[in-house]
Amino acid sequence: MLRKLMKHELRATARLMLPLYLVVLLLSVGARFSTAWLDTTPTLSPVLEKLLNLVSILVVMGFVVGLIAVFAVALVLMIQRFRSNLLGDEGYVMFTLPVSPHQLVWSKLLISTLWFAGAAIVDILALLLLVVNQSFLSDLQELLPRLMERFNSYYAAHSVLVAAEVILLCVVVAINLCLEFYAPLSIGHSFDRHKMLLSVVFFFVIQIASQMVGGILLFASTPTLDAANHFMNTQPPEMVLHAALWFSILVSLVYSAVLYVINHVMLSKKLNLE
Amino acid sequence: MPWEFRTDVPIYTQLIAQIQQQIVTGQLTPGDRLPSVRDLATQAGVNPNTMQRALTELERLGLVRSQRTAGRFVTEDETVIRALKEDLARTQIRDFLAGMAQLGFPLEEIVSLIQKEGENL
Amino acid sequence: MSILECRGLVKRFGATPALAGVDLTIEPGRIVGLLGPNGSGKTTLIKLANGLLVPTAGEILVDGKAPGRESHAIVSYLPERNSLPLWMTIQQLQDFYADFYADFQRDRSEEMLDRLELHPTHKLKQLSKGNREKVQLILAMSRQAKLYLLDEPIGGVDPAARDYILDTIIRNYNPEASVIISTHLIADVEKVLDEVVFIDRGQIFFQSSVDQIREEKGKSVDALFREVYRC
Repeated sequence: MLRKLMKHELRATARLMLPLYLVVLLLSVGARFSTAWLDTTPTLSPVLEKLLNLVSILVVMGFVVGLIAVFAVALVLMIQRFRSNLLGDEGYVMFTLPVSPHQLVWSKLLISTLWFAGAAIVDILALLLLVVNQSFLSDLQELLPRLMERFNSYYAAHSVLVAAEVILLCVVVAINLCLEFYAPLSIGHSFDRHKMLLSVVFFFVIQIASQMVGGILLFASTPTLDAANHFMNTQPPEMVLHAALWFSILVSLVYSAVLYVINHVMLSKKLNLE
Repeated sequence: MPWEFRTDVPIYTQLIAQIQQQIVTGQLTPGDRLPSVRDLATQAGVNPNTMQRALTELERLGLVRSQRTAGRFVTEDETVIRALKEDLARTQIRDFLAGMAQLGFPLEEIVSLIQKEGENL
Repeated sequence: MSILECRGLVKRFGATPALAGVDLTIEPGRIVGLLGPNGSGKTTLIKLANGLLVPTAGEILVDGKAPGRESHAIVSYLPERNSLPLWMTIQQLQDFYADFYADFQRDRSEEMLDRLELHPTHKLKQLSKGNREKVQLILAMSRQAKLYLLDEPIGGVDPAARDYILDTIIRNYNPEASVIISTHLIADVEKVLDEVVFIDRGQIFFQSSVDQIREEKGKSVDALFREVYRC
């Protein structure tokens, strides 16, 4: 059932995200020609010249906006899908399907994460499309192995392993980001009135609470901090890097788990669709 | 045929009466196959359970017989239909006599009135 | 076993009780009218049966189980207003139902949609309000469910649409299933009901068969309803 939910969630969101991705990629090609145009010496009439310059500048600006927009839209869509598809009128349909609240939430979490990942890949592709040329490629061919080598020798680490850890961290952070919105929305919508206002209030309540808990934990763990300091000074850089990554992953996971449980309890025990 | 219902009498009794009416007036002839319960209920715009109840009662009265797989048929037993006709006639006459009694006519006078009216037809 | 059972069911919104201690049993194989004026608690009761709300006290059981994943598989719910995503096409909506409900009969829904001349590529957004309601009804009635919960299916529709809706309900009814129709328009649905449940101010004060009311009181359910709710 999770697979079917994901399929329909994908169907619902792809109609917005895929065209957006395409627009950004097209803009990057446009921006490439525009910058090239702006670099050339004028040969046309001054009026036409000015007009084309303006268009070029607008395309470049649009490109920059597009780079940010893919993430912004993915974020807004993530919030919007949860709010309207589960907690709005469409919730009547979704919550009467023979599926569990776990499956409903996971389908949204995974598809949102997919779009965030897609946004990152599209932005990287777009930037590459902007700058890639013959010399860039040959430079990269030369530079990349050297870079990896330097990295590997400094950290004495396997760069692939580190990359895998970084990607895992990104995924966990993306899921955590979703849950930071899902949990307050679920709490806010369990009330009879002012559902949206209360959702916003609970968003800040959770943010402040998590900061406070983080602060307290940091304060309470001063002795361990010394140990960590000692660890960092005595261990090889590779170990420190791995430890830092895994520590971040672990913290995000614990925080996500807390938010997930809150969200699940609200959806299964306090559901209040009006 | 249109189905019409009064609001103060149970629907199933009205269904029985209307199907009986169709049988004696020849709209349904002996041996006719009746539509399925679902189709009859849809035609009449009534609950299928109520239609089922009416048909069961008609079966009990011997006006309809059901064959396990083929469905329900109007009885071919003319004596049963004849008896029903007479039964309905009796009801009509009783209603009529009751109305005439209210108007203050004794039976002999009613009979002669009927004869006179019959000659004019 | 009864298909729907409420025991001491209470639902409060803030301080106001929407349901104030409901005891109710619905047997399989019935078409039941849940009748009451607006705001009497009909929709709250149906939402509780669907697990869209959680009881404040008491319990509600569908086929012997609390509302949840298992009950959703055997209950077909028609909400009081459109809740299907408007961007979806009729084709996609049928895919959706077929994916999630094992009892969805696609040929049946296709036939009914065909008869209305609704094309599979039409988006819900493009349809009139009346046709959206019909699509939602057709999807709900194309399931071979054990319990149909229809919330105000004939509220605010013209007589032709009303006849279509009632016709669709009768045509797709199967004798083992139960149908609960909530409405405040009693005269319109009376003929299709086996049983009526009167609800007012969150309490059930009358449950009887339609023919029994006519037999015993010599009046229609509608007339009785008007009498009861006059004050």
